[in-house]
Parts: sequence; C-alpha cells; structure tokens
Amino acid sequence: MMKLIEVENVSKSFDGLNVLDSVSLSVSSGENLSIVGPSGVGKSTLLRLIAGLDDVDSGLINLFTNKISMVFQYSALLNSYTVSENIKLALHAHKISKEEKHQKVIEKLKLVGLEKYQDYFPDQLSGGQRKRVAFARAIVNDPEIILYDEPTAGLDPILSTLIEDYINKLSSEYKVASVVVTHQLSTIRRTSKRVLMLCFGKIVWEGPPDKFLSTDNPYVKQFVNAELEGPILAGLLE
Amino acid sequence: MEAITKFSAQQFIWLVELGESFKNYLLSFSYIITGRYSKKEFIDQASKFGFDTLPVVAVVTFFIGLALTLQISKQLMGIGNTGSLGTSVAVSIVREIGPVVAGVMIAARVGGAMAAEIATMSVTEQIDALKIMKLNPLSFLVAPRLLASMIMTPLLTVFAIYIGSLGGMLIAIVYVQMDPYMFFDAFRSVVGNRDIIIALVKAFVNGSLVATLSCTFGMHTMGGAAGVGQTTTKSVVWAMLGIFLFNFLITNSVYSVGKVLDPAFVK
Ligand SMILES: Nc1ncnc2c1ncn2[C@@H]1O[C@H](COP(=O)(O)OP(=O)(O)O)[C@@H](O)[C@H]1O
Ligand SMILES: [Mg+2]
Repeated sequence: MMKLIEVENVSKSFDGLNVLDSVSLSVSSGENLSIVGPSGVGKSTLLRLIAGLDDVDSGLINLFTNKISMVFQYSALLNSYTVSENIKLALHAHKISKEEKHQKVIEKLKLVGLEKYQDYFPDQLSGGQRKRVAFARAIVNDPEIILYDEPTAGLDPILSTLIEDYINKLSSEYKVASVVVTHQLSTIRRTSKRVLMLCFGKIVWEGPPDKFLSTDNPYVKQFVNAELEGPILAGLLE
Repeated sequence: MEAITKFSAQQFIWLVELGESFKNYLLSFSYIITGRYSKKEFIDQASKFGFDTLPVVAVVTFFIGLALTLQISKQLMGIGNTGSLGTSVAVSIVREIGPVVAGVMIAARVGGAMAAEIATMSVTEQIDALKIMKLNPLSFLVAPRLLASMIMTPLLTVFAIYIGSLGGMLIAIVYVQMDPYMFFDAFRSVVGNRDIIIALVKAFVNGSLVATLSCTFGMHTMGGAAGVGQTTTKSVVWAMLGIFLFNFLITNSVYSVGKVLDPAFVK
C-alpha cells in the first residue's frame, strides 16, 4: 500500500492551550480512516494541518500526493458564485475546454442529484444541499484523498446515510482514500475501516470500527455509551 | 517573561498587520500588473463600487460645497472682496475636500462592505476552501478589489469635485448674486493640470489604502460574527486615518508654504 499522508509527532497549541501533543498517524491510498473524539479536542485542527491550512508547532507532515480535497464542516461554498461556478472553480488549473469543464461539473452534480440546481446560489439551498454541492466540488478534480470535517453533523439520519453512501461509493468505485472526522457512530460504522480516537492532545485508541463499539478502553467506552462518568468529562471540566 | 512577550505581542499586533497589509499590497499589485487576477471579481467589484458610492458621494460633496462656499462668501463679503470667492472655493474643493471626502465616503461605504465580506469568507472557511483548490486568495480576491478601488476612487473623486463645485456655484449665484461665468473663470484661473493630477494621486492612494486594509484585516478575522463586526469597524477607522495622514503628507510635500507663495505656482 502506498502511503498518502504521514503525520509524525505533530504538536500544536493556541495561546498556551496544547491542542495536539505529539500526534502520529498515516493514511495509505484507498484507506478509510475515521477520527473521533469529543468537541474541542483538535480534530478540525488536525485536518487543517494535514491540508496545509495551518502550520505545525513541531513535528512533520508529509504528503505523498497533491491530489487532496477537503469537505468543510459548513460547506464553505462561495456565496457570490452559483452552484456550478463553485464547482468549476476547482477546475481552474485544468487545461481543458469550457465545454469539458461544464461536462465534468454536470456529471458530479448528477452524482449528488442536484443538476437542477446548477444556477442557484448557495444561500438559496438547504444545509444538506450545500453539503452535497461541497461534496461535488471536492471530487470534481479526481482527488486521491478527501478530508471530511464532520460531514454528517447537523443532517437528518436519512441525509447522513446519503452522504455516507457517497463517501463509500468514492472509495469502492474510485479507490479514493478518506479521513472522516465525526461524532456520529453511524458514520464511523458505515464509512471507515480504521478508527482513531483523539482526546486531550493524544491518540487514546486505534482499531477497527467493530472493536470500537465493544472495547474496554475507558475513553472509547464513555464516548460510545455517552456516559457522564469517565475520563473525558473529568478532563474537560478540569 | 512569557507574560511580557505576550503583552508586547498583543500591543504591537497592529504593527504586524500593517506590515502584512503592505506585503499584500505589493503582491496584489504584482498580480495586477502581470494580469494574474480574477476578471470576474474585478468586474463585479468595479460595478458595485460605482453603484454603492455614487449617490452618497454626490449628496455629501454637494452639501459640503454649499456650506463651505456659504462660510467663505460671508467672510469675503465682510471685507468686500467677493471677487476671490471662486478661487478660494476652487482651491479647497479640488486640492483637499474632493479627494478627502470621496476617500472617506469610499472607506465607509465600500471599505466597510469589503472588510465584512472578506471577514465572513474567512470565518466560514471560504478562504480556506480557495486555498484547498489552489486558488491564491491574493490574486483571486484581493488583486481584483485593489484594481477596482484604484480605478474607481479617482473617477469618484473627479465626480466629487464637480458636484462640490456645483454646490459652491449655487451659493455664489443665489447668496452672493455672482455671475456663474465669473465663478468658473476664477475656478479655471487657479486650478491647473497639476492640481488635478495631485488630486488623482491622492485618490489613487486612498483607493489603495481602502482595498488593502479592508482585505488584509478581513483575511485575519477570527471569532465568528462578532469578529466580522470588529473587523469592519477597524478597517473603516484605519482606512480613514490613513486617508487623512497621506492627504496631509502629499499636501505638505507639494503645496508647502514656500511653493504656494511662488507666483509661478499660483499663476
Ligand atoms: N485559530 C485558532 N485560534 C485559537 N484557538 C483555536 C484556533 N483553532 C482552534 N482553536 C482551539 O483549539 C481547540 C480545538 O479546536 P478544534 O480543532 O476546532 O476542535 P474539534 O474540531 O475537535 O471540535 C479548541 O479549544 C479551539 O478553541
Ligand atoms: Mg471541529
């Protein structure tokens, strides 16, 4: 398996708050990884560091591909551009004709079932529709790996399943690797082959999703069962 | 020790941001010259610029022209020298009031909107989305706004000068019963090409300041909707300060007392 991403002993702090403390992980091509953990432990920070949107304090991040995309938590579509223009922007560096670009855009919009909305502006769409457009934008230039920041947060269960299906479809049909940051157990179960749990700056558990639901690890157990008793809440209140 | 460095870093954050603004200005300028900027953004911004500011600039400069001429004519009537009304009004409006008032209105109207827009894009990760798509925010967002501002501010300044003078002429006719031709003759006799060029240079500087500061502060915004509000206010205040400062510096270097007293210069 070819490695796509390698994170080595990465630390990051904000204003004296140690968010990531010597975190290491790697993602291989075609692999589907979930990163879970309570709110505010630095999951988004980790994704942003991998994507090169922020700099590490110490440690190394090696990317072995430049075909990397990201789906942001609140979609991050450009408000003054239509749905199709938003997707087309991702193709700006492609040396292909306008028609071919349009063809590609429509093809991806069809995949997410929104070809009728190509001339709408983002604020004319629902949150779920925006998420699907963001998904279409992320895949239009055929990435090798996509980073998802809470792709199913705030969506109803059916829409969540739909998004999870897109993620799976990409990995099974096009062998696109994924790193999915999520809170949702259904998303972990349905989209990942490997789960990392992040807590207080460290990776506190790593394993396959079925083990995630049954392990005795106190962090994972508390998280999975949504209990108030355990190390997570104690640490957060500390 | 850590507390001290943190304290001073907090104190001088504005210095860092001004440095960043200057860097963004130079980079965006180079993108403009080499044509590497979003043409769509430029056209959008340039047209929005005119629509947003034309009415306010017209109203404000018209009333300032009225008030200013009223005051000057009162003084001149006192000493029985209304003949120099046209020259006094012309000098104030062309050299100072036109560029400054247009600049300030643009800072408030366009700069505020620009800062709010970029700040919102920042806090909603739209700028990060651009970076992920390997679109450079400077050439995609900042350069087209800078270019629009550098072109539109001089145009609006010329417009402001015309409307302000129109207000002045109205007072000259109604209040001083002056012949409008006399008023404009005086105008033409004192305002040279050089004054127009200096007014345009001032406007160019103002336009650059407004766009650069608004975009740089916008891109540095954190902290959601509250952060957007703070950035908007901050951009408008800093742009206005910059406009007043540079206006004074330019005036001081080209119209300093020695030169103005030079008869060849005044004509
Ligand atoms: N740019 C930033 N400046 C200051 N603090 C930040 C910044 N980004 C994140 N943080 C802080 O880092 C911590 C982790 O944030 P985040 O990565 O968004 O958590 P998660 O995605 O796991 O909920 C939070 O306490 C947050 O306040
Ligand atoms: Mg997050």
